[in-house]
Amino acid sequence: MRKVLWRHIVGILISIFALFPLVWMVSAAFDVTSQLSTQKLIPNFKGLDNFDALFSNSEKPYLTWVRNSLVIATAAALLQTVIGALAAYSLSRHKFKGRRITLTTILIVQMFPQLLAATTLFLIINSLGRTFTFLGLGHQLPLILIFGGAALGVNTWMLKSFFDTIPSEIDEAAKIDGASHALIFTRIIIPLATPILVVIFLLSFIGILNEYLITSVILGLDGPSMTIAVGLQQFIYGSYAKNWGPFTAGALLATIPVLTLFIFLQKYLITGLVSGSTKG
Amino acid sequence: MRSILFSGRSLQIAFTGVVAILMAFAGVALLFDKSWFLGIFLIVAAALTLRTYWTKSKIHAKYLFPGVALLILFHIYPAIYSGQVAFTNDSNGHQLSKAQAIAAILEDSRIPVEGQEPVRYQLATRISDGKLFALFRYPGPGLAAGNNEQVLLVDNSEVSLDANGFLNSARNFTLLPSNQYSIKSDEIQALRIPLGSSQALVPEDYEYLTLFESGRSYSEPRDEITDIATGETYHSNDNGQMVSASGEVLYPGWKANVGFRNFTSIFTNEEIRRPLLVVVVWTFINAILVVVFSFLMGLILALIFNFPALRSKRLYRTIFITPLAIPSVLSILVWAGLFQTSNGVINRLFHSEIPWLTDATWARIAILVVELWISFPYMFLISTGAIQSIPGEILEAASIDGASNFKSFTQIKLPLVIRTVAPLLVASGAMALNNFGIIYLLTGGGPTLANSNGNAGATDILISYTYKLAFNAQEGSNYGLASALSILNFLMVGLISIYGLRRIKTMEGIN
Amino acid sequence: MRKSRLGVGLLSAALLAFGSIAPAQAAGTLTIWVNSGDEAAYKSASADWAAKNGVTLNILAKCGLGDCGLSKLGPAGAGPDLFMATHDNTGSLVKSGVVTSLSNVIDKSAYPSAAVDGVSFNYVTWGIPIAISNIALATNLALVPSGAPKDWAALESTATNLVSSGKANVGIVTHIDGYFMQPFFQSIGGYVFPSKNGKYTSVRSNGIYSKELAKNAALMDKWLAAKLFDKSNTYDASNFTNGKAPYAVVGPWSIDGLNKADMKYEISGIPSLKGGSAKSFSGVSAMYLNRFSKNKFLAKQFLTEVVQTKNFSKSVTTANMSFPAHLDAAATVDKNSVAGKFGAYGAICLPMPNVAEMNSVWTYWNGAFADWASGKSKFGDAMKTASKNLNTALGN
Repeated sequence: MRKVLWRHIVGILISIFALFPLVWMVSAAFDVTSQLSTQKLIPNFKGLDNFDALFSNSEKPYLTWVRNSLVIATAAALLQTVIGALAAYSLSRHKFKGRRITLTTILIVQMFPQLLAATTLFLIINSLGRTFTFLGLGHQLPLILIFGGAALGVNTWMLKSFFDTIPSEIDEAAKIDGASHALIFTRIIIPLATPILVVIFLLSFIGILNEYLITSVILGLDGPSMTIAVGLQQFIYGSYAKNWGPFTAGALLATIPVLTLFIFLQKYLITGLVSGSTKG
Repeated sequence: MRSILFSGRSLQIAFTGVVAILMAFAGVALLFDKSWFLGIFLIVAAALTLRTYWTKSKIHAKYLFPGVALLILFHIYPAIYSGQVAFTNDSNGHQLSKAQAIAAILEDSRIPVEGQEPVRYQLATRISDGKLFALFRYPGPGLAAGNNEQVLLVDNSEVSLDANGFLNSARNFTLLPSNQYSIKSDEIQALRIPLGSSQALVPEDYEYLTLFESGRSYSEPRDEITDIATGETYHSNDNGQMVSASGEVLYPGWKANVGFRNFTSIFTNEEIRRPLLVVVVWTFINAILVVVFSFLMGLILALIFNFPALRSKRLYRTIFITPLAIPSVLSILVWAGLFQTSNGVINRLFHSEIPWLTDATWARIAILVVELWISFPYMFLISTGAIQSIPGEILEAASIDGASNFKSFTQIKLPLVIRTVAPLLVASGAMALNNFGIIYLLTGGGPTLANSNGNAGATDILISYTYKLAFNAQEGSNYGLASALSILNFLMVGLISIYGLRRIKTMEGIN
Repeated sequence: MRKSRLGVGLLSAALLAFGSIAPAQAAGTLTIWVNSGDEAAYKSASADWAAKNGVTLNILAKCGLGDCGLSKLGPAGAGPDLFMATHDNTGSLVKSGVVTSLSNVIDKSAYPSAAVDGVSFNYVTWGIPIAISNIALATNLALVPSGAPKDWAALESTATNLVSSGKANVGIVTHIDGYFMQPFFQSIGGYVFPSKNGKYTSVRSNGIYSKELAKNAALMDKWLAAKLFDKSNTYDASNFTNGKAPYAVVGPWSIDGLNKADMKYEISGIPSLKGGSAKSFSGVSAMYLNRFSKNKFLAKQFLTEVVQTKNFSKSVTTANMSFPAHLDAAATVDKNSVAGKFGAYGAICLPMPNVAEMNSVWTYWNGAFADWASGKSKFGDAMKTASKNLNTALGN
């Protein structure tokens, strides 16, 4: 009993730390006076005004933001996972010249911060938009492609390490049976790699959901185009007019789906993150 | 089996074909638009797409092509493009091309001529070569057709007028219907019909020309601007500006190549160098502390909560990874609100008056606390995974050998765990060196450092300092300097990461 | 082999097809960047004109970050035709070459001369004023039933009494930076750049540590010690709304929050130590024309027929609660309304200097205020250092 009790104490203390901002966000979301720093623990609850403000503001359409975020994050995370899986498989199996350099380059290139490159990306998409409108500013497709450009990086490395642990005899056996390389990849390798693919997808999804700078540059600041991260910022932009109520309400709502995903995919996360590094 | 293969292959061909056509189409359009790199890239990419997927070329290319193509277009090219800015003086007042800057200086020096009424004009294209002309009636010479290159006299017999006195036809010219003027607005705006040495007629709108006197003129061979009234001359200096002998500068300037000047100024300009040292030191300290502390915390928690008899493991695990579930751009702003000095939640809870965000030391502590809050869940997860992946036999063997718990931990578990997560730690370290979001959102770089021209703060790391220079600096943005700093930043992080990865490789033998 | 020939054929077909499609020229379109939150107001105020003239107006929210890349986008041909900016940016906009003269568009008689001066630089007018905004003093009528202070002495004594008796936490809720502290700064003799009749005359010297300010500097230290200002330098509006502070420096953006907090307040000017009102900074928000716009004639027509009208100024300022710059529109504002009170005070305020050097000013000036509030140095010393550093930075 004692062996478990002290663990519970530690657990509760750490839980308080982990949930600290969340608790205050909940209070502020239900409070009417829209002040965060002076928030009382028990909110001054006069109604769901803050949530109303979220759903009924035509200049700040929260539900549209949610839809935008989900579409972009899902599509881009999918794209990143597919690209990463393809590249990682090739780097793992195909012993081609320059393989080592490619892998190192991929890791290093990703370290160049995209901050200043945001202006160049803006100009590129602007130019593309003059030819194909759907590839121009304010549209989601170019943003998804830009995130695709960030697919090759640390995640690729993790995937490659995982693929390395799948013995190549499996590939050989299938080839002897007459399967093409595409078939081996899609029907055999991918199913085996599901745990890590789920992890990569989840991490990419969260990263893209959080992304603010490039999203705001490409999508612009038109109400209906924004994502959750960009849109909620509008409530508290500028040091003098912060509107914490709707902000925290929106942030809370945005947390629920991700948290749910976490709860159900916990097992994958734990095993998946290190699955490439263990030498079985 | 065969039918599935067939349809797979033809799908591949159809899909890549369509993509290639779209890319080629866009490439050509971009070339027409003078976007050289993009146009050529897309055309080459279209050709490569066909070669990679339609012919039996190297297999690895088929797998790597999409990723690499997108990487080059949206990551490498922007990086190089913004990198070359480091060799220019791109900053406020230096963002135009030289031609644009000189045109702007000349345009701004134009003064409308007093007493000269605006002149009505109509547009026409010359039949022989299709060039655009403005037809107008000017006191003195009479009817004329003019554009930027020439002014031709037109005889009254060559035109006919309608009832209102407007031209409705002219020999050698095709009159443009007035509802088409707006389509050519770009060209019309650029009309400067020269009359005499320093005067020109410029369209004021779609109906009238105004006579302007130029205040300045430019001689291209001498690369010299002359002020017509005073005779003062201006020449280019090495900083993209037109300067007179007495030091008077004309605005706007232009973006000029300055070679390595931005890089050397980082070391020679004391105003830049002084805060930079503090910032770089803090960047490293911050990254090391974050990785070490969050890893220790994650590892210890992983060990504590890997206990089989603890039944609420899953609940605790879910709670611990909550920080990752809240979008970070939002949670960090919430933390900033909680850290407010007076009446902030944290100060109220501890009945303290700690200036969390306005004092240098406390701000650094606040940053570390928030970074810890965001990082420990990830470390907890990977540590848990690493511990769980230690083969049971090793642990059993250890306990059979009589190793105590502590020994089992330090000599067996710990090394195995570290070996497993080492590459992830290196990656985390690299990210911590570039962790812009937390710094910018929580403290904005921190309380401003005393001797730093207000640009550097106590919690600034190199990347946030660079960002401030690019967007907020003294005399407006200094993209050139910011670009130079980001190249150095990239080199620093890159070299450290390569070093880290090498050490790991030697640690675990050959990959 | 057949497949690759097919590919080449398709490619050439695509290229030929392209040749026949010309990219459409946006003849009757204007792209306008406005401040975030103002889009709806601008759209409705210009909808009639747009419909009548067959013009498509793309009214977009600005990014709010620096100049939003305007100085890069403009020259690259990717910028808006018209954009909003506050007048203090005029100098750096002119320096960067992205704006073009509106001297032959503006009707100077329609605006107060201070507003026109604000958007002018080097004797040329570069923007059309739309709204004037400034800070003002808000008095908590629950704590101070007598209403807004008649003069500085009244403000000081009321505040210090309430603080020393424990009824209030701080005297005046305000940010401690150049913009907010300007009225107090000015009333003790400080100034940024020398000016005459509202026109700035030089940047070769600054008055951040003027002789008069040096003499009065100790007063600021005294007021800080008496908790007239909050040394933690945080703008804690709840002090004001919960009756723990008698006064607050507010802007039009704060009114929404004050109304929601269910409290009685009065807006007035900030009294000066020297008598009369202290001169705060007024900001003119104006519309500028991109030098690289391809639709300048249409844009100028829009400026003349829409932006320079009384109705436009009135409707957009009503929507975002600022005070109209257009004199005719200003005359229709109810003097007793909140906007009216802001405007009445704003009329005697000083427009911020619009020179590009202001960037440097804010850096050192705000830093000095921060150092003073945190206790690192006395007011006089902090300002002295700032003044010296500013001169060095400007090469004086």
